[in-house]
Amino acid sequence: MERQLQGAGKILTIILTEGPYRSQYADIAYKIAKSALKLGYGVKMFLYMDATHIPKKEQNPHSFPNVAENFRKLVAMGADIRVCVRCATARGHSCTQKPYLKGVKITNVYDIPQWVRESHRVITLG
Amino acid sequence: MDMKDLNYTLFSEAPLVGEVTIKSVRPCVVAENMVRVLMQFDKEIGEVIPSLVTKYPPGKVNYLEKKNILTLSIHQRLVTLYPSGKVSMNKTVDKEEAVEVIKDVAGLINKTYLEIQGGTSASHDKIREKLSKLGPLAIYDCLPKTNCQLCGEDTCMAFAMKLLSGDVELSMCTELLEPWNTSKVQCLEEVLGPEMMQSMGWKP
Amino acid sequence: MDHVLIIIDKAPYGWEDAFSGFYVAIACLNRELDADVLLIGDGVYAALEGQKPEETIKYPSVEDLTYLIFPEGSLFVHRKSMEDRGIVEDDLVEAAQYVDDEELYEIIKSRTDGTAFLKI
Repeated sequence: MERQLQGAGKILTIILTEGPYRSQYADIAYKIAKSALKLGYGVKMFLYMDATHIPKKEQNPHSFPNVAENFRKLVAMGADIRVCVRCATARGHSCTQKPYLKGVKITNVYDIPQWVRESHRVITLG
Repeated sequence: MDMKDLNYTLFSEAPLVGEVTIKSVRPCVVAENMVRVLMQFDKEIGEVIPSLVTKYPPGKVNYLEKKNILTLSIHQRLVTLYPSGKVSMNKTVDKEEAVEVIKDVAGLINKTYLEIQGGTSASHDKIREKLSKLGPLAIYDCLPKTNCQLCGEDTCMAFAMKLLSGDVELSMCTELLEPWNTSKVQCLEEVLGPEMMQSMGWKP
Repeated sequence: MDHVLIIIDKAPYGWEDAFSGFYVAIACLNRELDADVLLIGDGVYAALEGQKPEETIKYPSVEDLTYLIFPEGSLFVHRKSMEDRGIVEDDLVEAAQYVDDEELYEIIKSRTDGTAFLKI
């Protein structure tokens, strides 16, 4: 008999505001999201301000875990990851260049009120 | 844009507010394709604001007593009056429309100012006491209670509640104009006060 | 969740956070989600009157954004943070409401169930 997962039907939204490597927030968000997804929660992540650097393709950190690869795993597990267009283009990540991992969408800050309405918990890291 | 262009004379001889200057026009926060206008009266209005609170139905008024800031839900938009004479208005088509609407409000401000100067305006404590006792039941007691539905509402109680929220006007209760209901009208004057009755659409 | 309280603890212009935080508040109000802003710590500087960044550093004014929040949303400024920094009520934009710790506690307590706290 299949046990219903703890998080079934519930949504966690994580808003990130800091970039990768300089601070640990992206890594913390990855770990929280991964656990939540395993428990059956829906996970949505909105990347704002410097966090728009996080899902950039072709990262090659020397001694640290690759943040982009970790976020790729989150996408594969079903996380909905979106990036603020205003912040991304300010930082040179233009839509036409397809700067991000497959599955990461460039949208806008209006996703936040919509997600807040749908979510059971919202946290910000940064 | 020349600053002079943004200055509008509302009344050539005004007791208090005679002119308004448009300070900025920005996209409206709550309505697409509309603007939010920030304006400045030529005089401070802080002493008039508390008296303005009773000029409108309670449902249309949001008064932040701590800061003496009054937000009115009128003319299908929010008009916020600050004691410094600053005014903000959302859901507006353009600055010309903003000036039209604010002229209406400025007229009431001037009228109220004259009442205060002439000593005919109620004290702030009396106003606060009156407002705290105001509820649908107090109004219902002063209505004909016939549920005649001539006003468009099902019951007199429904009419009382919509009066408070500003969704109906007193003039819609034609029963009140009948000679046998003069005591009801007097009762309303007691409960609401003549100014609020007027802003609720009562035509004496 | 049906309400958002955006908490800003960084001064404007030195950090993008104040500007971006107000931006999120405006986006929420635009989509008819109740939103308020709390300025605490260095964030209280965002409510100072008379900011003119366009003339000097060519950044957009955060003060202008404070006028877009009120009255649909409230702008709370933490009193102790103001006092620590020598700021008085007269220094602030008119729409700002200072709150002391007790009032802040009441505001948070009354809203906790449906409120998303976003520290930007």
